[in-house]
Amino acid sequence: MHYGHSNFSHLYIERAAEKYPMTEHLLSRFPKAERICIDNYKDVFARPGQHFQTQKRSIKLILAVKKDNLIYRGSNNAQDFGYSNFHYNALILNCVYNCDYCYLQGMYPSANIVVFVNTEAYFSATGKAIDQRADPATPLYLAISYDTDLLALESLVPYCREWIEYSRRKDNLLIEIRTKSANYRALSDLPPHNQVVLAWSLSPESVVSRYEINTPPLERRLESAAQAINDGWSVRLCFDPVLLIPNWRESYRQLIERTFEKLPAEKVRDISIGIFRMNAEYLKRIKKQRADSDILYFPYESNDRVVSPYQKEKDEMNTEISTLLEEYVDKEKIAVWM
Amino acid sequence: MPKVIITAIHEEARPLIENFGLKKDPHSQRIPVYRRGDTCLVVSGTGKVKSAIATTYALANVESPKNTLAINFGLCGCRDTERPLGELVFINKITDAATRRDFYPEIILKHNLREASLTTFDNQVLKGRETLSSDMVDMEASGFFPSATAFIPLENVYCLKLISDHLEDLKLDNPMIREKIEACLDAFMVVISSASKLKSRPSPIAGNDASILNQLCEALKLTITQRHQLQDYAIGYIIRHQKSLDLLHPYCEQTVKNKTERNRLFKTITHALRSQ
Repeated sequence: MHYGHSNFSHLYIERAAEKYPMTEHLLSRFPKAERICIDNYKDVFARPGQHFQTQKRSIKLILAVKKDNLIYRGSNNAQDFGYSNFHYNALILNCVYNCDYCYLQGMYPSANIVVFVNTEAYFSATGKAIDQRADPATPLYLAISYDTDLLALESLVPYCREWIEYSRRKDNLLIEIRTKSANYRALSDLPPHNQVVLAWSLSPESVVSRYEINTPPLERRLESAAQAINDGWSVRLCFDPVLLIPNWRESYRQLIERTFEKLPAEKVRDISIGIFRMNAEYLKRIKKQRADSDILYFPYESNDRVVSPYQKEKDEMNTEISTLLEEYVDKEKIAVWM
Repeated sequence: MPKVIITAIHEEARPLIENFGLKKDPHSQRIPVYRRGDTCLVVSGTGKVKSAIATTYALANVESPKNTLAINFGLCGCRDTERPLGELVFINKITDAATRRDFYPEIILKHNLREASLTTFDNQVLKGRETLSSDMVDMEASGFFPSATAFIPLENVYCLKLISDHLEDLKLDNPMIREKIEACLDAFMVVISSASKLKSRPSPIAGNDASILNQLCEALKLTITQRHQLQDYAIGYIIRHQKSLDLLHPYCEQTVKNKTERNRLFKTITHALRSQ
């Protein structure tokens, strides 16, 4: 018997968020949900004593207005693909998926999903950042699906669509929408746009089924990416995180072979490789809360407050996977996170 | 799963005491406590300070805080006259009227009760005398909730209230209270029973393995940091290999004479846990 509520059984709504169209849209999507009025999203999201994995059993939706930090400079733990004006934003906090290795478990006090409904303020901040970017020779590179998976939520919160339309109106902007979802159909009616990169995170099926809880199978992600390429979108493939699982060589070899059976290699924009890495403090917090996933307890080394496999293993994994990929795409298209 | 129920007055407690077959704890004089098996009921007295004191008294020394439920059960006033007297409601937001501070119970448990927000006042509230944004009013919940969550997990703390009046002087008398509480006992028990089954926060190291680790910590006189490291490696070993910690048995027999020996042996043990 299941004793937990379903996801989104409760909507916590900031008073300031009540009048926004996205709030009204989400209220209409969940007419039976309990509605709880709040002053500030942090009163719920940052309550003391929350347990991330317990909350994953019944995720609540928090609707809020983001008042500051509408755009951030890129983190050192993420790839900038050579774009010096790398930024990201947080349109939504948290994710519907529940990957064992996800750093959000250590970064956020709650597994509940916060949707910031003041999209226009984000557009305005992005416009300013474009105008004030450090290197005017290159566009502002903006990752909009950074601490979340926007496309997975697109059917509910159509932010990918809104940002794609925004990018059509703005020069000098390149947006990346990274996803593990197979929800390309939510965007498939839109004409492709060269200022948008759709990026799929790919993992061996054994990793998907064991460590990427609630995510679509590899085959469905590949089908989604194939459809996007076919429709003319610029598609990036992210082999990130690469996990040091016992049979990693064979698993990743099969993954790469299967990927290029399904996708035309010459039409892939670029590829990133990122060996598993996490802020050491986040991993410590996660381990305090859960002891059910071996991936969190592999022997790792910590350098400069970032935890990852030992350098020798990382070098070996990067070399092996790059070599496999170079059979399909030019070396210049492969970005390796060292 | 151990349950601690906090009520304000005897009239609220009595039907529960009878239902659970609780007996008065003779050791508790100042704060009335009733117990049977893993169920404990405390009668706090009226008001949030008394509720906070009683909750703290009941929960401060529970054996297994992670696996204990705390429930504040009692009467409340309701401003919505459409809601019937005697309805049991599940509180999803508690506001302290004096401080304007809000508390949000964790609602993971699926239940069949209607939910409501509640404001805790220091005095009795009558219609028209206060500006209310909450559905319900009481005099205890904002004392109970932060006290309970100081000791046990957020998701194990529940506030269940029975509507006794519509903020009018006309209130239920004692026989009526009893009747209404008895009428909602089944619904109350369903929530408690489901909450007991909604297990959260499992302990990674159980029974025999926990005992092996304790023996090892004592035998080797490990430092606090080493104990944490050992636990970390041990969890990693258990979940990677799906095996118990039997490989550590031989080390439990060993003795160490000084720090150097201890540290050397600790290194050997952690190496064994990491490499196997």
